[in-house]
This record gives sequence, structure tokens and C-alpha cells, in this order.
Amino acid sequence: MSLDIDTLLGSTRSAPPVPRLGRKSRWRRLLGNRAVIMLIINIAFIVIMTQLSPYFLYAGNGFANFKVMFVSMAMDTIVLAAMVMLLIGGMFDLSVDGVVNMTGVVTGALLASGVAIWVAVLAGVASALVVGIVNGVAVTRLKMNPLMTTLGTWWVSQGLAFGITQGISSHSFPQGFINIGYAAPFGVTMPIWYAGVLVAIAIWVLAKTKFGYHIYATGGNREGARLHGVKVDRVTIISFALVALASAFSGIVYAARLNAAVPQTVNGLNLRVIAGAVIGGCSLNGGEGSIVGALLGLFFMTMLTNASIMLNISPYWQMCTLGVVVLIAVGADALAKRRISAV
Amino acid sequence: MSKAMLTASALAAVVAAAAGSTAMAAGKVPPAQQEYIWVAANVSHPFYAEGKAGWDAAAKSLGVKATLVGPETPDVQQQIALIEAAIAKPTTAGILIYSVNDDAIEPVLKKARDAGIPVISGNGEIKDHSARDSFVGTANSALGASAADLVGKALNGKGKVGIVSFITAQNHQERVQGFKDELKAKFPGIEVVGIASEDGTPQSETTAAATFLQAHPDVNLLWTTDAGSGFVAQVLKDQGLTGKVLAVGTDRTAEQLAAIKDGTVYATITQDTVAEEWTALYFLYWKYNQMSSISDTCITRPAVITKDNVASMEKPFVSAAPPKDVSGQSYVWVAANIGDPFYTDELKAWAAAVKDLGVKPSTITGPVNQDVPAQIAVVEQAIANPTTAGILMGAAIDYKSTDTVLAKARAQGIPVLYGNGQGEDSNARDAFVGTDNVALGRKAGELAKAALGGKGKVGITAITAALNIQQRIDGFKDYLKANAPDIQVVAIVNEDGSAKSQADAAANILQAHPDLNLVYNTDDSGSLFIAQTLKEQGLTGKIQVIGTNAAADQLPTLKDGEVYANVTQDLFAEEWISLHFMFWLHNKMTTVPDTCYGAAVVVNKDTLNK
Repeated sequence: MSLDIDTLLGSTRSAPPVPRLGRKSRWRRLLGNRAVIMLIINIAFIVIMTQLSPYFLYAGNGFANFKVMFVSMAMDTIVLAAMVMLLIGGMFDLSVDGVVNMTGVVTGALLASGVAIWVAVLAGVASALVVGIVNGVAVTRLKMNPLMTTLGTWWVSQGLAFGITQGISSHSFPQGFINIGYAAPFGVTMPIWYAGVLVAIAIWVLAKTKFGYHIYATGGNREGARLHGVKVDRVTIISFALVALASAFSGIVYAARLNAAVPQTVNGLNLRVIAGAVIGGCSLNGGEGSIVGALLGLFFMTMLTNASIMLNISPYWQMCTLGVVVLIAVGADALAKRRISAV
Repeated sequence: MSKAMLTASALAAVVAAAAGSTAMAAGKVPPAQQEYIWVAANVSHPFYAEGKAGWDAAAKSLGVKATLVGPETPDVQQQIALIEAAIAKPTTAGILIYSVNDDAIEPVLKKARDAGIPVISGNGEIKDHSARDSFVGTANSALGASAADLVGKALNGKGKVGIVSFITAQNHQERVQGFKDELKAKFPGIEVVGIASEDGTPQSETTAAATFLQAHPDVNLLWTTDAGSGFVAQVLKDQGLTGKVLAVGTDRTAEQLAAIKDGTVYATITQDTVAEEWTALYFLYWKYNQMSSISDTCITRPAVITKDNVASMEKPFVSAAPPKDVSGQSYVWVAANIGDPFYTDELKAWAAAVKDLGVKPSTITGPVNQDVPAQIAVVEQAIANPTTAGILMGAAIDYKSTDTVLAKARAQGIPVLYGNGQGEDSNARDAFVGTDNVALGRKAGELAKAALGGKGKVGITAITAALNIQQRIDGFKDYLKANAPDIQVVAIVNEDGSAKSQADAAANILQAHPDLNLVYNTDDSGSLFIAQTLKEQGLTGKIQVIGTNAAADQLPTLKDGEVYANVTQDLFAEEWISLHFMFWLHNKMTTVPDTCYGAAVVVNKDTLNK
């Protein structure tokens, strides 16, 4: 079985170029790795921004701006870890924003009515899991289009968030719940811990477990994987469920940090995460990508947003600026990749 | 019956049926079937909860249907689609719109009005006033100005401020502009160091605020132009800046109030959306059912919520139902010079409103001539009367003394309104329903420019001691200065409003200035006496006349063209609305807008002959 998987993976992953002349080809291999490219881009951006703003990297309050970015990014990273697996498996999920908001609302509404914290959290997570399973089953068993399916579940879950609250957020939660978002062991705030742990787990799953191999196989060649005995439908359903659970977790942490469950706490988180993952090397066709690359892609997106405020870029031009920079980053990488493949 | 007769009868029946159905279609829908639609900008935002309570309560009070609809995120195309659907529905009786994009939405609003559906713009005024019947809401620039006043006091006039704003939205831009203008005018020591743009979601607000604080470590205060100050306070807490950087918000949401209570948010400026939506629905109802004309503009008063008053502001306003029998409630209307024909329309409106509400019948009271002590005495008497449920100061003579006695009435729980003109102390009254006197004067200036072709000499006859008249004169002169610099105001002659005084003033001004081209009279009936004087001196048509108001005795001179035009106030709406406002306040049915202005209407030969 594993031999079949390895063969299969060999046919889907880009085979490393045959070493030709030692150091030169090692460089080419290095530069063909999207994660390396993103690392270089990120470092270059930090260097440039340090020249443009005295507060970007290090100021009187230390690396406070980077701490701000990491905290903001951590909330997205919680979802990213699962989304990368789904993308590698050849799928994507548009329902994330709705699930994040719905989970926060369900949890918050129960907390406000006096329910125990663990019950409220469990209920929120369960509501998200339902959405994830619906997405997975609809796409695999009913053969529904993933774009339209997850668009539908996005609207349903977001609509539930609005409908449950009638526009009025629940707030003022018990301290035990707030600590989910605000505790800071060793001076590091909880969202960063959560993101770190989830990223580590995701890296391990993709690199070291059979499930991880199956994800790559499913994404690279679904039919081929199925013929080789991979339970592709189960892989897909589990991946959708993982994204839903991650979204639920993010929604709960948001509610804890805001001390309020707002029906539209996030808007655009989904696209941000997908964009970061794709910039970092995930293919929308599946079969390709890495957590590290996606992380670096997301970090780049986060730095762009941060820089636009740091540099006081007019809000009317911020979106345009972000879009242009993203296109340049992805274009430069595509060009570099083509040149290396031409060798 | 012969075949021909049968056919004729059948044909007649068909025609009758068609005529009947047409008549039904052209008529109004009965109140129980009337539907009023409120089209929001981002319908699920927590902001709407409070206003919806006012909207629903008004609908229940009127026995009509009222719904809140709109896109989830600001989307003018969706708004247009909803309005088109409303127009197509025969039961639609009125539309309240929170415009996302004025230029795009104005055509469909005009279409609604053409279809007989009244339209009110809420929250923010739209650019083209011909696309709506009225505006009821907070002037966003005034909201921003109130925020600036609060910030100025909080920082003692010195410091650095950051703004966290959904700045790409039109109403937020207006707030920010009002904020900046007020700071520039009153607190030059306060600098706005930047604007952190966000999209209205807490995630975006917190990210923007957190980054902004890094980019501007010397900022003293962050003002959020929407309801996000509670989340910004979390960011301050996160960065150890609570108490070092103040957070000020906008609107009233539960989490902001909680944050004010625990001291993490300094204050918030709220819009009175209960008053806005309740009043808007009633205005639409009155307009649709042709019960009364309505004000052109009603502004709700922003309120400041701080730690000192958060406990009382926390409870949402709950509309009470009036008692079944209100016939004992007495509403007092105090005038300046009863018997003046100026009050004709107002008397009709007052009587109609008394009948509509079922309160104790009453009519205008006050001195015959301008007599300040007599006016004050009437108010004192009303205060002493236990059945007094509201006092309308219809036309004050000396605002300082009336402010004092009206404040006394308010202190005893009696709702008080100013009409026609208002005093300087806005705390002396619950609301003002009247005319924008400056706008009235400006309109007269516009007419003067048209009458004289932009060049000439003008004299003014006026009760110069009255504040509302001074405002008209200021509006007139300002308009001419800006738009017709070749028209000069060469004389202002005082009169006291009586027929004799007005006639004498007219004669005097013509004697003293034989080269006058136009006379502008700023109060009622004066144009009649000026026209008579001109006729006697053979000057009709040689000297133009512009007057104010359109009492019955002035109409012939307008119809004949002896008077070029009059600028009038919507006096019917003033009294109708005033009595209803007092009734609502006394019976705790709703809060009311702070200021309502009627439109300045031009009456001339053409409009009268139409």
C-alpha cells in the first residue's frame, strides 16, 4: 500500500531536479521552493519597511508592532492550519466566515443565558461540525459543486448568526471564558499558543502520517488515489470537518477576546486565509502546498495590512495597493518557477 | 329584454366594473393594510436594534405594518431592488431610506414619490432634496462636531487624536469632517494624527486600532466613528494603555455601555434612533393619508453617555401606550399677538390635531400685542394648572425671559416646545418645530436676485428686536453678499407687527429712499401694506415687493402680481407636529427630534394660479 502511495505521490509531487553541477543546482532547487521564496520576500519587505517607518520593527516598546501582527495573524492561522490541508486535498471552503461568526454567537448566547462555559463551547463547536460535515457529504456523496455548496453554507451559517442575535450581540462573559482569549502563559497570549500548536500538529500530520499522505494523494490525483485504495471521500469529509472545527475555535477565541459575540465579527477572513495559502504555495488544483509556505504567505498579507496603516496609505487606495503587491509577489514567484523548470 | 339591451347592459356592467376597479387602484390602501418599508444600509448591524424598537412601536401605535429590510453589507444595488419591489406593491405606503449612495439611489426614490409613495431619508441626508419628502435623523456632521466637543473637553483642549473609522462610507466621512471642522474651530490645540480605516467588523476594528497605536505611540485618544469603542478598549487593555489613551465611541450598543461602566471607554455619542424612526413612520403615515404636511428637516439630538449617566441610558426606551381617555390632557399654545391673520393656518392645524388625539379642546392664547410679561403670565398659569400636559411657545417675544419660565415648566415635567422661532437655551425646551429662519431669509434673497436681475437697492421692513426676524435678515443679507454683490441693502426700518406700524414703515422707507428697487418685508402681512402704499404712490410695478407668509389677506396682492412673491413657512405642519410631539412626550410614547424645520415655500402669481 505504502509503495503504491509513494509511487502515486511521486507522480503528483514535482520530482526534485536531477543535481547537475552541485552548488548551482542546489540554489535552483532552493529557489524553486515557494516557502523559501516567501521567506526572502518577507525579509526584504521587513527591511524596506524598517527604512520607511521607525515603528515597524523595533521601537521604544520593543518588537510591539510584530507582537500586534502575530496576535492578529494567530486568529487567521488557526483556520489556516486546517485550510491548507483542505486545499492540498483539492478542495476549498467559502463558509469559514459564517462558521466563525455563527459559533461565536451560539456560544455567546448560551453563556449569556447562564449555561456552563464547557457546555456553551461544546454547543458552538457542534454547530460548526454540522456545517463541516454537511459540506463534506454534499461535495463527496451528492457530488455537489464545492464552490456553490460552501457558498450556501456560508450564507446559512451567517444568516443563523444574524437570526439568533437579531442584531444584538451578547456580551460580558464569565472571566473563565475570557481567559480562553486573554490568558498569557510566559507572556505569550493564548491565540499565539493555539496557532503554534495547531500549526505544529498540521505539519506533523502532513509530513508524518498516513492521513497526510492520503491528503496529498487525493489532491494530486483523486481518481488515481481512489483506485489505489485511498478512501478519498472520507479524506475530504474529514478535511471539511477540520476546517469547520478550526473556524469554530477561531470564533470562540474571538468572542472571548472581544468579550462579545457579534454576528459579523469577521468579514473576509476566508479569502485572506486562502490568499495567504496560495501565495505560500498551495495550488487551488490540489496536490501541492505546505504549512510553512502558507504561514509565510499569510504573514506577508498581514504585514501588508499593517504597513498600509503604518504608512498612512489612504484607505481608498489600500485595497488596490494590497492587490498590486500580491500580484507582484505571485507573479515574481511564478516567473522564477518557470525559469527553474526550463533548466 | 332584447339581445341589444342585454349586450348594452353587459357592456355597461363591464365598464362600471373597470371604472370601479380603477377607482380602487387610484385610492389609498386602508391603514390596516398599509406597509411602511425601512431600507437599511447594513441591516443586521446591531445599530438598528434600537431604532427598530421605535419603528415597531410606531407601527403598533398606528395599526399599520412596518418592516426593516436591506442588504447585509452596504450595497446600493440591493437597496434599489428593494425599493423597486416596494413600488410595485400596492400596499406600500411609505419608504424610509438609509442611503448608501445618493447619486445611485435618488432616481428610484423620485420614482417612488411619483407613484404616490412618500419617501423620507434617515440617518444621513441625501443630496437631492427633491428625491425625498423629508429628512429625519442626525446630521452626521453635527454628530462629528458633538464628538469633537466631547474630545476637546476630555483632553482639555490639547493633545493628539486618532480616528478609527469605516471611512469609505459616506456617513462616516461626514462625521469625520464635522469632527475635524469643530476641532479646528474650537480646539486648535488638538491634532488629528491619522485615520485607521476598518470595514465595520470587530476583527477589522481591533486590527486597525492595534496597528495605529504602534504607528502613533504619542496619541492621547482614539475616536471610533461607529460602535466599536468597546473593542478598541480591549486593544488598549492588551497593549497596557488603559487610562493612558482614552477611547470614545459612537452609537449605543450594550458592549459599549458595559465598557463605559467599567471605565475602559470614556464616552460614546449616540443618535436618538427611537425618535428618528418613530417620527419618520408617523411623517410617512400623515403624508400618505393626507392628514398633514410634514417638516422638511428634523434633526435628532446626539446624546453623550459617560460613566455619570450610563446607568440611566442603559435601559432601552420602552414605548408606553397613552391612557384610553386623554380628554383631560390640556395643551397650551402661547402666541405673541393672537388675532393676527398669521395664525389662520396654524389654528386649523391645532384644531385638527386636537381632534386627532382626542385631548382637551384648546386654542391659541397669549397677548394681543407683543407683550412679554403677558406671555410669561400665561406660561406661569399653565404651569400652575395640574391638567397642563404640554406648552408650545408659538412665538416668543423676548427669548431670554421665555427661556427662564419654560425651563421652570420642564423642571416640573411639562414638555415644552418652541415654535416659529427658538431661544438660545436649547435646554429650555424639549424640541423646536418651526422654520429655519435663516433659510427663509436666504430664499427671499434668491427671489430678490431674480426680481432685480442681480442689481439694485433694497430696503427691509422688520420687527428688528425679534430674534427670528434678525435671522431672516441675516439669511437675506448673506445670500445677497455671496450671490448678488451688486444688490445693496440700503435701509432697515423697524415696525412692531401691527397694521399701522407696518404701513408707516412702508411709507417711511419709500420717502427716505426714492431710488429703492425692492422692499423686503420679513413678517406676515407686511407685504400687503407695502403694496397698498406703492399703489397709492403710483409705484406698483416700479418697485418690487417680497413678503413673508401667505395669509388670506396677502393672497390677492400675490395673485395680481402687486407683490412679486412671498416666502412662507409651513404653518399647518408646525402646529400639527408640535401638538403630536407634546402628546408623545407627555404620554412617554417616544422621544422626539430636537429640531424640525419646515420648508421655505415660495408663493407667487404662478403657484397660486396653478
